[in-house]
Amino acid sequence: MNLSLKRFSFQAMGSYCEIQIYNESRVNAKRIIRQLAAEVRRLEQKYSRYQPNSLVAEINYSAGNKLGIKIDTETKALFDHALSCFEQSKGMFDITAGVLNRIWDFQSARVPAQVEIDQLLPMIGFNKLNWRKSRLMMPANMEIDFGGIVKEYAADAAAKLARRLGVEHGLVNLGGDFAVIGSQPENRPWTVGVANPKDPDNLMAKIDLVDGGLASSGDYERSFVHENKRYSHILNPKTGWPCTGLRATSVAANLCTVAGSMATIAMLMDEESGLIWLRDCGLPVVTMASDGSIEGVRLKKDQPQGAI
Amino acid sequence: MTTKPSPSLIALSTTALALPGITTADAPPAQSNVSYKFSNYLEDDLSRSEVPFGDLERYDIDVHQFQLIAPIDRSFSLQVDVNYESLTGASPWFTSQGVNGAPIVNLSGASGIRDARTEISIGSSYYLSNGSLSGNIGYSEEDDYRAKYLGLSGERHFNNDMTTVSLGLSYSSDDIFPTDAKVFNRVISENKHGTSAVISVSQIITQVSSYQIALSLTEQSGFLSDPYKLKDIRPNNRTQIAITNSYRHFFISANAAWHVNYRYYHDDFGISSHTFDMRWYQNLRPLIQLVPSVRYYSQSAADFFVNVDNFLKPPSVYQSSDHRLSAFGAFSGGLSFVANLGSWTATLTAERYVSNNSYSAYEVTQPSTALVSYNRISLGFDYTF
Repeated sequence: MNLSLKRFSFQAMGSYCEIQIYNESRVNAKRIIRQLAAEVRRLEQKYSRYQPNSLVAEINYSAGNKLGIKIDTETKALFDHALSCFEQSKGMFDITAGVLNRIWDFQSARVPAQVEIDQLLPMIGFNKLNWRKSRLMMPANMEIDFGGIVKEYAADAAAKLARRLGVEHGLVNLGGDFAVIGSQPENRPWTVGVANPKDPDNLMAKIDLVDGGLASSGDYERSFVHENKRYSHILNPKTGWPCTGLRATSVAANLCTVAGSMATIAMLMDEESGLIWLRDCGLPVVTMASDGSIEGVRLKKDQPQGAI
Repeated sequence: MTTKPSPSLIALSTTALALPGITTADAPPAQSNVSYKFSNYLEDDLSRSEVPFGDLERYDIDVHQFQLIAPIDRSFSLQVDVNYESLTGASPWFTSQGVNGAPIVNLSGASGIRDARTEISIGSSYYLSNGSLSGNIGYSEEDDYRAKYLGLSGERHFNNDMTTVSLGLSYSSDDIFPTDAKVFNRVISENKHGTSAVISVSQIITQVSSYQIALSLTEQSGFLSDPYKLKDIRPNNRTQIAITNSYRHFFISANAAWHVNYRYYHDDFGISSHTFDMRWYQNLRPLIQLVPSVRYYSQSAADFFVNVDNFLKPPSVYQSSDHRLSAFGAFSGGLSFVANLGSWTATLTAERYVSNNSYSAYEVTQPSTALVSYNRISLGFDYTF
């Protein structure tokens, strides 16, 4: 059997995406990759906050509607996972915090006034969403954003679909969120590089993956410095101000979705709590602290992965 | 270094694993599949000693089967089946006693029968996180027969998907309106209904083996006789029960799967039967599969089976000389050859079926003539897109 590597890159979810699979036949590989990319695009179209006809746009449009909106099984499962993130982070990971982007503009590097923030805070709170079975009644002016979950989920879903289509060795990379299907042939791990937030063209670490996923959260692009103070795009839903904890976090886990949620929650905490949270989880982790120091644990595949 | 997962990690993994794109729960097929199969079923001719006059040729049936399975969205799939059968030949009309006392067969129509049957069925399945619900409706029509049916079924997985319980209900209503009814004094138009329930439990035993048991109960009522036979009077109700056991085992070292099934059947016509069959799915690298199969079947006779029609008995007395109601046994053997060519799969199957009174596991008091033996050849193509 002669397995060869086929790579395909495309643009989706606002990121550079790449799929690599090993297959005997190039024709087959191409056909499979097309289907995986279609799955990623399906999720993008359904959950994009920017596309006016996406389901998320429809949900946000329903805010204040007494009848609410019927939520399908897949989206309900995403809400359930979002609730889990909300609970485990004690309210810091909140998919209703997206309203803050109305006043925090990271391109124009403007710091909003406290009074602007105070106006928005009542519109935030995952626990304010009302459910009647699969019907969601969202209070007026609130909005949701699956941005912190969907890219990771799409990577896992594409990897799962690849397995279903018979792929034994493959990698899905959606803008730095990775899900792998098995190892590379001959049990070689996939070595994934983690970009350095201070110098995105260079790596701050390499992590070996043999299955599962890797996700990163950090100030890679969207942050600014104003009057010698760094403003991260990661916003605290309770205060409305940027978080001041870790600079970047990468986590490897059984699923890219889990890795992403773990990393995001760590970023929302203060630096010390974030480091403890990551140390306790038992997963392979790389962090960059606010002073720029890099720390990595359990990065090689022969080290315990704390697999669940 | 902590290696035990934290409670937060467990909580997040639990909800992530429930996401439809990730979960191993039921999902509609990811791709669409179109398949076409052509089969030819050719019964052996009867011998001249069994049929003194006319044609010896029996049924020759060509079957064209078309199927489309397509996902509609994340939770729905659609299935469409269209079958077309064309049939030529003759079927036993009545049996009588020959000069030496042995039963002889009188085949219907000197020029034989020519008929075509078209069937269409549409079904849909709805996939839930731990099971699925399906429904289908079907319609079939031929010159002298029209069938309508509908079915509902559901299945649910338990025990970490190791156990699956499914339940199915179906109803059918058939109209029979024999051709040339007036000429041959046949019934003009009759109807029959059937209701059926099936419950099955399948259990994954190990990584490479599974077992399934299914119980089905069918109740038929209405005109159950054969309108083309000169003297065929059967009860207006029939209750059928069947228990099927299936075992599957995959042999990793041989890269082959072994399927073995046993079925016991009983009905209140007095027929009991045993079916035992085995298949061996041998994977041959890279993309070729050979599937040899063997099957043994035997049934007892219906209480009212006669091998020579008795035209003197009053019409209130049940009797039938239909060979399918006699005691007999049958062996069949087949070989399939499956080739995977990218999105295409081609399957070629040949089968030989031989039935005989002497193969019966049950006592044969009235041996039937006109038992069928046949060859079946089929060629099918599947295309996935």
